[in-house]
Amino acid sequence: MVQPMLLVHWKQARLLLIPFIVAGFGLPLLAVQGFGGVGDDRAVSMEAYRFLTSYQVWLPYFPMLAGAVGGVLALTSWNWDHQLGHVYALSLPVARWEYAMLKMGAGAALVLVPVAALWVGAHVASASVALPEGIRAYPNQLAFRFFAATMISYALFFAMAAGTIRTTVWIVSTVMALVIGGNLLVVVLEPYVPALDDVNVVQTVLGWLLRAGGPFAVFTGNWALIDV
Amino acid sequence: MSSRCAAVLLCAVAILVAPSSHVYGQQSEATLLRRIDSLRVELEDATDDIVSVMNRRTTERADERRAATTTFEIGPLRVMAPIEQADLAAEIFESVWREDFHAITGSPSLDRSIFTFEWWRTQPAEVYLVAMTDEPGRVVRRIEISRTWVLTRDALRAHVRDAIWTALRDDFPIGTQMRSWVADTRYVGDEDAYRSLATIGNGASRSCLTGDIQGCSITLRLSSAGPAQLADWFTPPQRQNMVRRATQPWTARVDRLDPAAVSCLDRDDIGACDTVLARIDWVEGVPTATEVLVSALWHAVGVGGEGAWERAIQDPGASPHEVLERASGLSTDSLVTDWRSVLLERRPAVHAGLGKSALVALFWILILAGFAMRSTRWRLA
Repeated sequence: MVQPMLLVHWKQARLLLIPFIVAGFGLPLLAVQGFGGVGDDRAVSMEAYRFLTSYQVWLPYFPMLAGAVGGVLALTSWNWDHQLGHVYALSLPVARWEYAMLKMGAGAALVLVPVAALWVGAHVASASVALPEGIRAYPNQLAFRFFAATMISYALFFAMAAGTIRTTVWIVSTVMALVIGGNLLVVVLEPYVPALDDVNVVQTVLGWLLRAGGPFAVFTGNWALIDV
Repeated sequence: MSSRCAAVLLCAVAILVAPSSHVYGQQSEATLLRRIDSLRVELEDATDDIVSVMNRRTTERADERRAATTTFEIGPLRVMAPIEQADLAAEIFESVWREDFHAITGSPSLDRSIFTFEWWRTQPAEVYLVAMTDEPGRVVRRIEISRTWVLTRDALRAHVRDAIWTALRDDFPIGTQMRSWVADTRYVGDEDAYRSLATIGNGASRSCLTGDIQGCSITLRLSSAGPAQLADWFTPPQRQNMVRRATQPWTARVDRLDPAAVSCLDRDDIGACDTVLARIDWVEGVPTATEVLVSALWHAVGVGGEGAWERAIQDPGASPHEVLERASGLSTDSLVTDWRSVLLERRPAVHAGLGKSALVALFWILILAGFAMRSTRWRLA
């Protein structure tokens, strides 16, 4: 059962995955570009500080790529079900939870493709530069973080795509309203509810989502390929 | 000041600026002068009214501010904060002092400083204005920060740490060797120092990382070294930069018109650079990071224990080498060896917590998978 799911999903997603595979492989290489080659004396002499500061510029692209890969894989996994009105799914002799789990597993397997590309790219990038003493490369950790972030993104979009459009709109609208209008509401209510004086809704919501324990904490961690 | 004053002001302005038009053209010059003189008195009265009202309002506002402000002490720190934030300020200052500065005693700069604290959300209470009027003679060090920019208490603690360190830095008078040694750094933790040491990027600092104590001493600019190590540890561009720095007017260690310096800087003759550096104590110009130097000072104070800071600042003219020995009570070599081993132990764990993040991510993935399995779309289909 898993194999046909995987095959169908692969057919749906393969063309869209190609740019992500290229990006996953290329991004670490771009991040270390201009840092000299192995055995190059200039690499030893250059200021190691440049490694870290130049790399910072590329940091946001890694979580963005993870988010995009997860989103695309999740949406393509449900695409043909939605187009065919779930007839195929309903005709199968499996419970709906089992079907969703198989489908999710197939997508998770496909996540490994761009993750592997990034892992290889990170290793190639690390090997292509002569790191000064005290500076290290973390290709495995970066690839693992990328995998975790991609899976979170994938699971989120998968869950939303599995529901109705109305449910999705409700969830997204509620979060957006909370982020955009939350503080306005506090300002309006503050004169009547003194306890709200110290409340910052946006900060609280973002903190809950992005800090340790939140669903997106993995996105805000350290994405360093090269560090001390 | 009222509508009367405003009316008088308007009239005065109108009369003074109006051309000798048909309205006043028929009046004699003497009449006009009389009118102007009488209005001038009214104008002066009105101006006085305005000033007194403004003064009164300023005083009232200052009284309001003063009434809403409280002052307390944490160790040698004098802190002023809005009453409703006094607990927060006390908590933050107390924790920062206990964790990072408890060994500091006898700092004249701290004694003459007052720290104004506010973590404001909509509008600042401008506590520093109260401090400026009520604590004359004290240096006001403001930590009045908007919550828009500083979101967490940890970030707030970092600002408090910086403010206390900035005050302590002033114990080394400007123009002294130690003051230029600590320069204008922010507070330096061990992890920052390690990162700085690893990113200096010259042979001396790399040797230090691999265990060569002389490399550490050179990086800290604490010991002299012969010209032989120049070529080993510093690349030609770095040596050329060392000469360039030595010819700057504020160091004035080498005459820019010296033939060897000219040859080094203008003709990229590295042999000439080495000749220049061999003539001076080149260790003073070694490229390093101020964070690393400050970290060594902190280490010396930490090792020295009680009274270390007082000993460090007792002679403003002392060299860094003397200050570190005096503060720590150790020889430079012992201190540097100890400092290096502590620094290496504190190497930042770059991907610390990744495993925990992965577990948290797994938890959320399972929850989201659960939602996907319970979706309503199938039921609708």
